[in-house]
Amino acid sequence: MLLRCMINGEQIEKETEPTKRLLDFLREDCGLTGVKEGCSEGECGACTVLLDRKAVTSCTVFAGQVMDREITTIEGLEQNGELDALQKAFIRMGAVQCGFCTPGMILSCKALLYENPHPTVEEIKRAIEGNLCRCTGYEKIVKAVNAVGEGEIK
Amino acid sequence: MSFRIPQNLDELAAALREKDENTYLCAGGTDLVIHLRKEKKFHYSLIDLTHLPELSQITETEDSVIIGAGVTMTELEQSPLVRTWIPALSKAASMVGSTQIRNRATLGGNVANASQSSDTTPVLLAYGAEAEILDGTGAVTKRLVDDFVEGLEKTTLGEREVILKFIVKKQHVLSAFAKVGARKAVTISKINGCICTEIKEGCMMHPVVYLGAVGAKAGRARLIEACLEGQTLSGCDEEKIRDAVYAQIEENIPNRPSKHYKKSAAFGVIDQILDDLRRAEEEAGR
Repeated sequence: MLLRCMINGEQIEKETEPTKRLLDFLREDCGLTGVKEGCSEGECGACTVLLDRKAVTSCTVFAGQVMDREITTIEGLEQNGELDALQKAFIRMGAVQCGFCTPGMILSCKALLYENPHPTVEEIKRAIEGNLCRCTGYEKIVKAVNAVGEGEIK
Repeated sequence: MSFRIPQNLDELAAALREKDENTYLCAGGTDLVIHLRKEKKFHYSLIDLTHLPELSQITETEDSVIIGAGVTMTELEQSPLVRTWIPALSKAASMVGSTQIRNRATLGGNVANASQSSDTTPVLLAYGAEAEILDGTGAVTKRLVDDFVEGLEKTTLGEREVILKFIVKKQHVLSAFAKVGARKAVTISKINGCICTEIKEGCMMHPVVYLGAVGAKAGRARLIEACLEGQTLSGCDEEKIRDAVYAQIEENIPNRPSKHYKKSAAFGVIDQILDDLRRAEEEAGR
């Protein structure tokens, strides 16, 4: 199938197998390896991407289903060589350790901030309940998102 | 192998006409993608249901709320119409999986998958919801959800049928939903329940109670209904309710070893629902 969609702001057309998972399409066909494969069951959130600005697990979406849709991966957050505020906040607050969960975690938080630019701590926790992190204990992640919500990091 | 993306109901009916047993309908994909991989199936055809505007709307008529089968859990949770008229459905949807899953999982998928742990099915059953179903000839029929869901991943829907929408009659009732899983969030129900009841002069009248995950399909809990009938929300007889819940679980799953913990879990679920109903009654009275 000739798959037509917008990825990280760029309109693309690519011949691909539509029953592939979106995760595999992004990693194998598009070279976007910031999308991580974790549990492959929609449980861990490592493969989270934005589909029409909403967080979804790309391991539970068929590639063909994103026809004419808009996808954002972690590679798409940086603008003109400058990291997104969330990326800066994760670095500054020490919210990244091994880093495997980080792309999915940041994209879940990005989707939250699109809908709710000043979330409460409880709202942040709910937004990332589908993203597992085995290193940080979540505290620094929540603080990083909070710092962006509060306008401390731009 | 084909991958069809119908854009309207005529194209959907045409896709259904050509559907064979190796073709799957796919909405959110949160169960199907995992299921096909687990079964080691790699060669199949798909009919995508996410590009059909007719399936993704929530609307109302004078006497009903109409919910497209492709409406997601997030949309159910946030919809003012659903929150007003079917609060238990909004609550159930808010407790399905994680944010990412709720952004994709659909009401139609949750019902058609017919898992015994489905969170939305007990609510639809408690409200006596109907579904509109399209077949390959383009004909649309109406059926009670109760008539086609069998549980344990089985329905009586035909090979070439698809749910288009759910119709829930507007009723002047209070409703609430609760569940117990293995952990607090992102959890599959070990037991869940819904109560839908009229309130007259502070008393519960004709309460409808459904319990899920205590049997193949969410079932009506008539022993609990009989116990609640006429009781006030503010002065419930806790001991009587506990006895009725325990008797109900014994009746539903007499031979399952899980019945022992499900009795106390079910009581917790009913207790939580009554708490939520009490809060809803207070808010309605304000």
